[in-house]
Amino acid sequence: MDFEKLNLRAVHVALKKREFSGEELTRYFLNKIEKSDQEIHAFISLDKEGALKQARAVDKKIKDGQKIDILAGLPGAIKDNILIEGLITTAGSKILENYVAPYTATVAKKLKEKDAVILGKTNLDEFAMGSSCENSAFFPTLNPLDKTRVPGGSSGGSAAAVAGGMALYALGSDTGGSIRQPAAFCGLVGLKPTYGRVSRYGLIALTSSTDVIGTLTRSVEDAEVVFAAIAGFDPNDATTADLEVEPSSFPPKKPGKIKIGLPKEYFTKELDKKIKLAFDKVVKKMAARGFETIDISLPHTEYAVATYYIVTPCEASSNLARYDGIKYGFSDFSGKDLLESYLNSRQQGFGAEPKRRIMLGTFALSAGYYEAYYLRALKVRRLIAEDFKKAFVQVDFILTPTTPTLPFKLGEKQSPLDMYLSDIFLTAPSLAGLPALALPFYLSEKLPYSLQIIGDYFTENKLINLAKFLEKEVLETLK
Amino acid sequence: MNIDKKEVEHIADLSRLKLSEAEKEKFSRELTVILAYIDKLKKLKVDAVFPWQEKSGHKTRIDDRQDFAGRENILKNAPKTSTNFIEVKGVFK
Repeated sequence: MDFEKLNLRAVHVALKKREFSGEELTRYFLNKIEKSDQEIHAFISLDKEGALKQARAVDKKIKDGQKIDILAGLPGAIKDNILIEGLITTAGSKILENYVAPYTATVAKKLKEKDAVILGKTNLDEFAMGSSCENSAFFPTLNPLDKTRVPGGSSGGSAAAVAGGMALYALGSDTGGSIRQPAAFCGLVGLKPTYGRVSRYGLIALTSSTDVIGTLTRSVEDAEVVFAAIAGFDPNDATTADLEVEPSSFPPKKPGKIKIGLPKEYFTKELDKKIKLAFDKVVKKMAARGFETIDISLPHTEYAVATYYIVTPCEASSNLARYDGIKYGFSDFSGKDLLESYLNSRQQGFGAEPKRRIMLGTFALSAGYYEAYYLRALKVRRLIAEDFKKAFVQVDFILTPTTPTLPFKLGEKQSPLDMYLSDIFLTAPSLAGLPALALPFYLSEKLPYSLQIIGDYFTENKLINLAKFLEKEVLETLK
Repeated sequence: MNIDKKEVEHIADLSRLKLSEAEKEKFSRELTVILAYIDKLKKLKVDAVFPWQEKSGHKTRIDDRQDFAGRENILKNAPKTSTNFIEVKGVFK
């Protein structure tokens, strides 16, 4: 059976009808990984035993006539900055190369409670810092759609696992684009929920004020299923919101009077002409289908990347202070005293990008510079959020391209700043804490294009509904 | 803002990072470029802006003691332990 063409619901139905067993399904994916991943390098580690054990348990439930969840027995992958007790969790860093997670993250626990099969942990830029997966301390991941190109990052391993047919769905984390950009580069649906919608208990922290866990899937409906499984309040994460996740209505609503905002600041010279043309084509088609498109302004857009690259390094420098070689992770005790143990462990354990961000963040938080950099960035962040607030009075959704270019080649982006700018359309929604969904589409080329739909706070299911409609009624017929 | 080698050494000291000479030069160059880009924030007037954002739906849990089951697992990750303690190099002479 060609699982790569089926959505989660269809696999679930086939599994229940016993067209194949859960064990056969899991073995199919483990074999696929064995064959494809030698080249793609989507996974850092596999949990074959755990996956098969879970699959057999689901088979038993089906045999016994018990009710099973839609995700039961369905093999997925998890980004390797999310903890699962007993499994090594590296965050893509040498400093955590042998770290065995002492407890399980809430999102993974929720998947396990639904009997989902977790195949393994996927590659990422070290501590989720990067946009190409080239910053992984272990190996770069290749884009399964074109192996000379990057899969995007930092959730590049999760994206490559799903796009390469090695998992049915994957979890990633998005701090400033880390789900949406790899989704765009690998032709997947990437959902970054509202800040506070999904628990981060057990997620290795990068930027605590923007980190969000979300989904990478092949269809919007799959995103809906996985999102529903992981969303909700968690007493172990004080930043989660105690707000109900409203059910989404299916089939999707008619376009009717839905107002779509097109922010003029996103159509700058950085935007590849090809992407601009493709985007215009989508907008035209949407207008023809009855959507009202409105030109809007988000005046502080041009400051988003600069703001992000103060906020993130500051929080990262603080979050990464815990890696001292004493409590866990890589350690070198050869020095003469405790301070030297810290210095030696951190020098050898961290790669270039974490060091760069620790340096930048420490600088921006240091005496004499705090007001000029960190406090100023927080204030600009507030202005960015206000822009969106004003826009959502006028429109229901905001539509932009996800990335300014198509997937770039491995090694193409040499300077850190160049790499930072590849997230130019993604950092503003992260700073504001808004939900956003990357939706793929194809024209004549083999590489995918991607739309970013930004919604108002805690309206993921509206976002999903619109995306479902666009996926089937607008984007499918674009070619 | 020019981040010279002396400034890099100062930041590295605060960051608890030991850098090689090559790294010091590299970071001096790179941080200067990144901060030049970030300087665009100075164009904005922000004196009257309140820096913190409001959040909705937050609820703190009851201030109560909870047992954590993973104590042994945590100790297993420590490079050096002695009975139930994590061992470090001496701090006092």
